Amino acid sequence: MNRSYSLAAELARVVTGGEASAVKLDTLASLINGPSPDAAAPEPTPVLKDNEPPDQYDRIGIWSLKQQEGMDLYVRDTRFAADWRLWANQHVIFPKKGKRVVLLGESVARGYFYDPFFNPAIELRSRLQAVEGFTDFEVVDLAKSGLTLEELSRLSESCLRLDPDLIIIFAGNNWAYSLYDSPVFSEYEIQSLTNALHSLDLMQVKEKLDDKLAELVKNYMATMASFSARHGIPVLFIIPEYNLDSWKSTPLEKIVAGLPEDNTDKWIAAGKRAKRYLQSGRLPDAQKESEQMIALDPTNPLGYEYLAECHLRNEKYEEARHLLESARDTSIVKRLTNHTPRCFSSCRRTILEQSKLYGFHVVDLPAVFKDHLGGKIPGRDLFLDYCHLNHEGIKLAMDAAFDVLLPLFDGKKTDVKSSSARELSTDLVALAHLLAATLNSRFGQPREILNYHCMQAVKISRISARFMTLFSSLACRKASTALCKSYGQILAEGLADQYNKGTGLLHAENAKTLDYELIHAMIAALQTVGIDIHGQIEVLLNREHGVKNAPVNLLESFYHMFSIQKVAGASSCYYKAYDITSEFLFFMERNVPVYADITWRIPATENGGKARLLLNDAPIDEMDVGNKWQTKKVLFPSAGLIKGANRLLIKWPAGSRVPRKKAEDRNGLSAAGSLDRSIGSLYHTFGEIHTLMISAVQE
Amino acid sequence: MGLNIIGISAFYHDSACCILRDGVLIAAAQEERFSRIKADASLPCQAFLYCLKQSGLAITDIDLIAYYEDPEKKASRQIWSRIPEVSSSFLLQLDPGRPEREIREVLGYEGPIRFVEHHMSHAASSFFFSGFDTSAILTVDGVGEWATTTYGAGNGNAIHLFEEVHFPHSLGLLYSTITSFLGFGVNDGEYKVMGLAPYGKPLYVKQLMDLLQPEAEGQYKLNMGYFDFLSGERMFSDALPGLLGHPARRPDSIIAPFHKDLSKSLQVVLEEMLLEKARYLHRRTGEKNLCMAGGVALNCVANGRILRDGPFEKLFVQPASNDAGGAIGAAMAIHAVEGRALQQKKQLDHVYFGPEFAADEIEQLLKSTSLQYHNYRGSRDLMLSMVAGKLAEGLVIGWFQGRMEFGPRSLGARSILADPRNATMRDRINAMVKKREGFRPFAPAVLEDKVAEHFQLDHPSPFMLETCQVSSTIDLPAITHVDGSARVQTVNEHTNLPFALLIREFEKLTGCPILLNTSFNVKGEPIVCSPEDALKCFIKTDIDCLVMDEFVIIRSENSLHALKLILENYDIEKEKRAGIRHDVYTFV
Ligand SMILES: [Fe+2]
Repeated sequence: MNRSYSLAAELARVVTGGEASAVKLDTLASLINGPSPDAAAPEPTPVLKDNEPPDQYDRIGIWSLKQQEGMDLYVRDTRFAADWRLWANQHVIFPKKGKRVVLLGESVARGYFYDPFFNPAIELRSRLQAVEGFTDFEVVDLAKSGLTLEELSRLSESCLRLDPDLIIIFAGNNWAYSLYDSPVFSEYEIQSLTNALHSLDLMQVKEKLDDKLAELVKNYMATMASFSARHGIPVLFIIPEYNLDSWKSTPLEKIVAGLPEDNTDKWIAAGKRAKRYLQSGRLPDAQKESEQMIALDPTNPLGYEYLAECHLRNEKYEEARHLLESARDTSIVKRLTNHTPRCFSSCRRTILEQSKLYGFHVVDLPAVFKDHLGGKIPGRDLFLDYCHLNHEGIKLAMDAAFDVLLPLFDGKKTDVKSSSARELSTDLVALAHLLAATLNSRFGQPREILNYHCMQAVKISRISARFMTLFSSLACRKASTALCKSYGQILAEGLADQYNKGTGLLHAENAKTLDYELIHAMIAALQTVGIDIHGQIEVLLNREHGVKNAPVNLLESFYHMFSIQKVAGASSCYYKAYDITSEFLFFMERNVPVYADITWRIPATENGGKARLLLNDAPIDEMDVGNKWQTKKVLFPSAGLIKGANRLLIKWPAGSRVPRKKAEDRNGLSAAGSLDRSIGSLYHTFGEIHTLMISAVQE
Repeated sequence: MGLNIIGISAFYHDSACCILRDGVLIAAAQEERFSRIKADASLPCQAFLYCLKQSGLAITDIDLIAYYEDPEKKASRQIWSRIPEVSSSFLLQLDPGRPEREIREVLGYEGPIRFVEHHMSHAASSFFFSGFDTSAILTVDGVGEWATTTYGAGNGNAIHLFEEVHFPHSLGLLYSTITSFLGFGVNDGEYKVMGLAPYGKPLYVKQLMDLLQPEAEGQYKLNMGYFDFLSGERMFSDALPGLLGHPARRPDSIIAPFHKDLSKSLQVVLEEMLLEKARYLHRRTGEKNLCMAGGVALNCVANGRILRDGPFEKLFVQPASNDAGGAIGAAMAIHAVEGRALQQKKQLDHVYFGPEFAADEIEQLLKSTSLQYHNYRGSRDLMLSMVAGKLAEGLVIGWFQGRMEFGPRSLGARSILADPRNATMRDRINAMVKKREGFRPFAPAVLEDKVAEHFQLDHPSPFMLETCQVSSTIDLPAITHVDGSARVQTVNEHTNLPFALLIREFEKLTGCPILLNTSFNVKGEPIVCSPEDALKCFIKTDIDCLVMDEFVIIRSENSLHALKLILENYDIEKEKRAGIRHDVYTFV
C-alpha cells in the first residue's frame, strides 16, 4: 500500500513536470499497476446513457414513424422541436404514391436566405411537375442547415425507408469540420502532423489534412454505394461551388504564420507592396510580390488573392480561378476553429473520382457555372455569401440537376409542357440580399459588397427601407438582440423568417457586433430613396456607446472586428493582435479630451518594441512596449477627436518572434489538445492588450 | 505598497475568482454567473476580469495568484485511485499542469503563483473570516487532494491543521453516494436529501453504520465493499441495495417512505459522526470557537445540531463552503503566509462581493426593449411600498438589487420573494421557476431585530446556514418544514438596506416581518447576475413582477408571449455545452 502511494506521488510529479513521453508514461504506469494488471482489473461497468435516441430506424432526421389509419407516416417529432428550424418546413411525410426523389444536403440545399418560401426542392418539384407524365413525381426535402458528414451518413441510410427512386446529395461544404470535431486522427497521425507543424512545413500539413478529408469522403461514398447497390437506387451528387469572386478571406483567415527566419517580416512587406502596386495599377510588380507571398507562406490565402486580382485585371480567368481556389483551400490548415463552410478541391476531386467508380451521377456546379458564365469567375451574380446561392444560382443548379434526372426516368426535354420559370416576389429577393448583407458584415466583408446588397434590395422593394431602419436601430444597441424591441418587430413583421426563422440574426452571448460599416451602407442606400436616418443613428450610437461618465471598454465585442472567429487552441481573456494593425472604434458626443488606459505587451520578443498610435489617421504617439505587461495612460487631446465615431489604430512592430519550444507544446496534453495547441502556436501575436479603456477627462 | 492577491478555484466544480487588497476582500464571484453554464468548472476568466474591474486594477497591479489546491498532490491521488488501470492516456488526461498553464496563457498572468492545499483553503476561508482570535477548525468535504476531513486550530495569522482523514474515507462521499442511490444528482442533490430527511424515520441507521465506522481520534472508515466511486463510473456497488433491502431509486420516480427513512437515517448518522468528531476536536484544542468549511458544512441541519448539542460556544461557517469558497480561502492563506497583518478583524457579515449595475445601465437596457416599466428613480419609498403591496396581494417578485451574492445562496440581492403566510406559494413558485420536488419548503428572510419573536434563534443568521424551530404566532406554511423547522436568514439595514426596508414595509402592511426568499434562477440555470439575465429569467418564467434597482416591471402590464418565444429560440442558439456529470462524483 505504502509503495503504491509513493509510486503514485512519483508518477504525479513526472506528469506535472510535463517532460515525459507517452512511452515513458506507459512504463511507469505498468510499474504502478503491478505484475498482472489484467487479472486484477474488474470489468468496467457499462453505463447507459439516457439522452441518446433509442435507435436510428424509426426516424429520419426530425421525422419519426407514426402508424395512422394503416399508413406509415413520418411526423415531425416534438422531441427535436429545437431543430425544426434547420429542416424543411414540412410536418408530415406521407407514404409514396408515384415516383420519389429524396434530396439530402446542407444549408445550400436548404435554400439559405430564401427557405421556406423558396428553395432547391421547390424549384426542382416545379420543374418536374411541368413534364408530361411526371405529375406524380415528388421531391422529399431532407436538407438540413449545418448538416455534418456524420449526420449525412446516418441520413443516407435512414432515408432508404422512404423508398426513393433517386437520392440527390447536395453537400460537401461542411465535411472538413469532421477533421476538427471528431477524433478521426490516430495518435500516430497526430504525431506526424505535430511534427510537420513544428518543422513549419505548412504544405505538408495541408497535404496531410487534404488526404484525411479525401479518406473521410471516400469512406462515406463507399457506404453510400453499398446502400445504392443493395436497393438499386441511383444516386446524384451535386458538388457545391464557392463564391470565388466576391467573398474575401476574413481578417482572421489571412493572419500570418510565424515563419522561419525573418520570413514573416518579408511576407508582411511583400503584402504591403503588392497592395500598393495593385492600387496604382503596376500589375507586373504586384504579381512579383504576390508570388513571393505565396512562396513564403503557401497556406495563407492573401498571396493567392492578390495574384488572382492581377490575372483578373488581365482577363486571364483560368489562372485567376485556379488561384482563388487555392486561396479558398488554404483554410483546411486549421487556422480557425470555425472557418466559413466551403467545398475544398480535395473534396470535389474525391467526389468526382468515386462517383465514376460507383456509377453515381454528378452535377459539378463549378463546371456548370463556368460554362454558364463563359469561363468567368462566379461571384455575386450567383452567390449571396461564401457558399449560399442566390435565386439565380439555385435555378441554375436545379436546371442542371433536372437535365440529369429527366433521362433517368425516360423523360425528354420535348415533354416539358411549360416554362417553369417561377417569379419570386421582390420582397423575398430584397430581404435575401439584406439578410445576406448582415452575414457578410459579421465576417468582415468589404464595404463595397455591403453596399451592393443594400442597393440591390432598396432598388426592388419598399420593404428594404423598413428592414434597414429596424436593423440599424437593433445593431446600435448594447442589449442582446433577443431582448431588443426592434428585433421583436423584425420577427413580428416576418422580415427574417427566411433566415433560419429569424434566429440567424442572433449573436452568441457577449459577442454582439456593432456592424458599423453595414449601418453606414444602409444609411447610404436609404438616402437614395429619400430616407435619412443618419441623425437618428448618430444619437443612438452616442447614447449607447458614447464615452460619457463611465469608461468604455474597447475590448468588448462591439468595438473591434475579432469576435466572430477564433484561432485554434488560443482562448484567452485578453486581446491578441494577429495582424500588425489593431483597429478600434469609440464614440464621442462632444469633443472633449479623453484618456486611454492601456495594459499591453509584445510577447515572445527579447525586449518588446515600439507601437504607434493613430487617432483618426493622425499619428499621436510612439511608445515603447515591453515583452511583459505594462500599463500606460495616454491623453488624447480634443483637437484630434471628432464628434461621433473615432478610429483608434495601434500599429505593432513587425519583427521576428522567439519560437516556442516543442516540449512546451505537449506539456501533459492529450493528443487532440496538443494538435490544437500546435496549430495555435503557428500564429504570431504582434501585440496583446489586457486593458483598453477610454474615459472622458473630468472637467 | 499594498498587496493585491487574486484567489482562484477551478477545474473541478463551480470555479470562482476573488481579489484581496491588503487582506480585504474586494470582489468575489463564481464563473457560472457570467458564463451562464451551471457549475462551470473552467478557469474563471470572466470572474477574473470582473475582479480587476471592480477593484480598479490592471493585471500589472496583481502581486500574487493563489490557487486553491495542489495539482500534483491531487494527481497522485487520482493515479492511486486508478490502480491497476493506469495508462499513459489516462495520465495525459489528468493534466496537472493545466492550472498553471491556463493562468499564464488564458488569464495572461506573468507573476508568481502559489498553490494552497485544498483543505487549507477551506480552513482559511472560514477562520480568517470568522472574526475569532483563536478557534478550532473542522473542514469536511468529498475530497481535495488526499484529505477529506481535517482538524486544526487557528490563532491570529496562523492555521495549523494537525490531523486529516484520507481518501477514500470521506463523509462527503458517503453523503453523495446515498444521494446518488436516492436518485438525485451528485454534487447537486445533496440538499434534497437533507430536505427529505424530516419526512422519514431513522430506520436504517444500523445498516448505514455498516458503511461508516468510527475509529480512534479524528478518524473513520468507509466500508469500501459498498462503494464503487473509485471506478469513476458509479458511486455504489451492487452490495448496497442488498444491505438496504431496496433497489436504488430511479431519478424522477416516486419518492416512497423508504427513501424518506433512508434520508433521515443518513442525516442522523452524519450528525452523530460530526458531533463525535467535534467533541474530539474540542478535547484536542480546548477552544470555545469552531470554524467550519467544506461542502458538508453546507448541511445546515447538522450545523444547528453541532452548535446546540456540541461542546463549542460559537460556530462560524463560511457561507461559500463549497469549492468556490476555496478561492477566497487560498487568497487569505497566502496573505497570511506573506506575513501581512490581517485586516478582517470582525466577522464576515455579508456576501455581496459580486457585480452591481448602475441605474443608468438598467434604464438603457429597458429602453431598448418593448417592455412597459415604472421608473421610481429618486423615490425609493414609493417603490418599496408599492412592491410590499404587491407581495401582500400574493404576487411573486423577482428582486435584483446592488451587488450579487458570492456563494451558493441568494440572500436578497438576486432573490425571488413572496408572502410566507400564503400556503399556495410553495407550489406556485415551484411550478413557475423551480420545477423542483415539492417536499422542500422555501427559506424565510426575517428582520434581525424581530427574529426572536418568530424563531427559536438567539443570534443573527445572515447566511441561511442554520435551521431552527419556527415559534411565530403567524402561520408561515410556505417556509415551515414538516418538522416545524426553518432555514433562517436574518436581515438588517446595515448590510442590505433595500431588502431590510422592503421587509419593514411589508411588516407595516401585514404585521409580518418575514418574506419567503429563494434564489433568482430557472431550474438548471445559474442564479442571475446581470440585468439582462434577470430580464430573461423574468420573461421565461411566470414571476409576476421584476424589481431592478428602482425600476419595476409588472407582468400583467406587458404582453410577454412573443418575447418568451424569442428567448426560447435564443436558448436554442446557444452552443450546447458539456455539463458536469451528476451520476458520479467527478474526481478529475
Ligand atoms: Fe472541497
